[in-house]
Amino acid sequence: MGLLLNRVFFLLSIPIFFSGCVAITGHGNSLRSFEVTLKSSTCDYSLIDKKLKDKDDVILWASQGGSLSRNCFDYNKSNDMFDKAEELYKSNVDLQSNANKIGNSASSILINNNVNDYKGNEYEKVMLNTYKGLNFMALGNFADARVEFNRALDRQRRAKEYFKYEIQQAHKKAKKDKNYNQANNKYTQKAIYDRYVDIFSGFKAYPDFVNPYATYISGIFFLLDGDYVKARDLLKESVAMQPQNRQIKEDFELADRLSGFTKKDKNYAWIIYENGQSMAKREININIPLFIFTNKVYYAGLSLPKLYERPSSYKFLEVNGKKSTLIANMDNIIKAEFEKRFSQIALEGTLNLIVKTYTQYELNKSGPLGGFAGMLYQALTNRADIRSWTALPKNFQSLRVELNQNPVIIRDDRGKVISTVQVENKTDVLIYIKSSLRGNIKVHKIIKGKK
Amino acid sequence: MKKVIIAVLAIGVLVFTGCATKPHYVGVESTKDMPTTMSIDRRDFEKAANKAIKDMLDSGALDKKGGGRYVVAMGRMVNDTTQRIDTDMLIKKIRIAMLKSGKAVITTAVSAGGPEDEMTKEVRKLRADDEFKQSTIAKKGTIYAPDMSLSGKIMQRIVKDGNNDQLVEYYFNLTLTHLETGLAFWEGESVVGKVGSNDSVVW
Repeated sequence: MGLLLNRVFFLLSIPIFFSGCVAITGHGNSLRSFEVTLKSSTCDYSLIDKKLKDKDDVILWASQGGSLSRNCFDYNKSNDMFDKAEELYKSNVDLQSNANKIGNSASSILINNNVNDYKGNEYEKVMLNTYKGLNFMALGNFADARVEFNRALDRQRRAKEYFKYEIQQAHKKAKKDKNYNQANNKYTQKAIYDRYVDIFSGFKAYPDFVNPYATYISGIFFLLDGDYVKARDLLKESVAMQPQNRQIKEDFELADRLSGFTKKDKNYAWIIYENGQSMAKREININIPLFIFTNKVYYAGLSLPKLYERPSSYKFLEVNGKKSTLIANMDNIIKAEFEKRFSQIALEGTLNLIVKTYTQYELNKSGPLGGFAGMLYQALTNRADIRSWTALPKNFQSLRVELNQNPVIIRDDRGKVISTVQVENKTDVLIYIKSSLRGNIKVHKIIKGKK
Repeated sequence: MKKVIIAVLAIGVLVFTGCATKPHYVGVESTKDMPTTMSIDRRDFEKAANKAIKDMLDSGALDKKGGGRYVVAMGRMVNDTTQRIDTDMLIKKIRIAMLKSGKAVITTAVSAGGPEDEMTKEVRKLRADDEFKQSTIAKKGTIYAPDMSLSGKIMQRIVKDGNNDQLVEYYFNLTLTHLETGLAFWEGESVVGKVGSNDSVVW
């Protein structure tokens, strides 16, 4: 009995010892708390500061903090935060073996993925450098902005390779797990996938997992920086991705004209609009059949992350009667990556459940107290990893007007004026608007050579 | 027990570091003077600058008809890479060599993005200040306008090769433009290529 009690105590102490409480509580509370701060438009960094001080998921919280500081127009602070995240991506995530990037480490099999440091997503790396570029533009530092847009484009190239080869490698590694066949049982997997039909069907991923916004906004940056040849090449790529997109086509045609012998005799205002809130993850519980005991189907509850849609803000913005056009759907980009990673997430979750079910079975045999402890352990650690950079928008839109009047009056989808921006007619301007929900508007004005 | 831990650690070090390709220059077999990073380092700047200086002086572009020296202004130097670089590291060496050659002088009174040394303009603001001995203040019409402009771009190309390595090439492009005619009197290019692990980004 003494030995059994020791085992029970040991088992229950594992998640707490290794991870504080996150193995049991998950990360939901922190993420919800950040959402409240972000929506309230207060520049309260207490949660971010605490997380960074405790070195708790630095990639996640530095990314969130970068977005918060950008919303507060503190571009230097925002870039400091993004630099922290980027440094860890470089020194930590990129250098880890690829199978471990996705999970499948011993701790995630024994406890759950919440105990592992947040490793981010490929689209997050691309957006990180894109935002740094935009911050440098707002600071009037176009030289460093150029570096960041080049980095975003290189991250995009790497993401393409990542999805092509490396996810397959991770899956191959999982196949070596002794419980792989049970976890990969078609009835078990069907029970899981049936709950994801609604998000995985009927959407079209962008080719090669590219984020069309990163390519487009880089093209606009090079246009504003007077590098018309590079702008033309990038906007040409954007047009190739979306040949029917009127705004991208017009911008490409402008860059194409300017990269030739045409003199630039007009100035323009680009209105880039970040609309709403991107998809985020929440936990769902699925009762799945496990075929791990002979002649007996055993049903057990599995918690997995699932993407859910969050609200849009204004459907579009309007200037001089011209409406903004969709450039990229961030939700689709997030969904495409989640779908690509999901087979591994589901497999890892199932392997995790099998190990715990075996343990519970063994403990049950040793008596009621052991059985209770096993059940408690399983219930406590059955938590999905729902972490993601939640400050991203639902989609990106763009609109360009010729600058022949001052100010630029921006209206919402109901014709109501939401912002009046004073501009100079002698130079191009980028008016960057983020609205995560109606009434919540952040306007960034970018003019080359001006802070 | 200690021995087991040490053995495990040693294997771990080998597994995690042993297989990654160390950065090296393209086509260079020797292990001596190999780069330590995939980014541009001091030696890359030196190599590019030395090549540019030799090319420029050998080309005769700075040989002024009838003797004398050209006045050269610094044009825009674009860093089109993924690395934050101080382009002065490249340019300073070239400027020093141009001055040493006796064929050119560099103006700091006018350059792309504003004067490098604002004092040329500042001292002229003292003309109205009777605290200064007016005869010691620079006279009107004494600043030399440039004959030439030196501009350039550092570009980068990154590709993954078949061995899970990546190849990064840096192109140092420089142009010497004759400002009266708008013609490029000289252009030079220097390429540095490095191969290394594709595990992380090059910056």
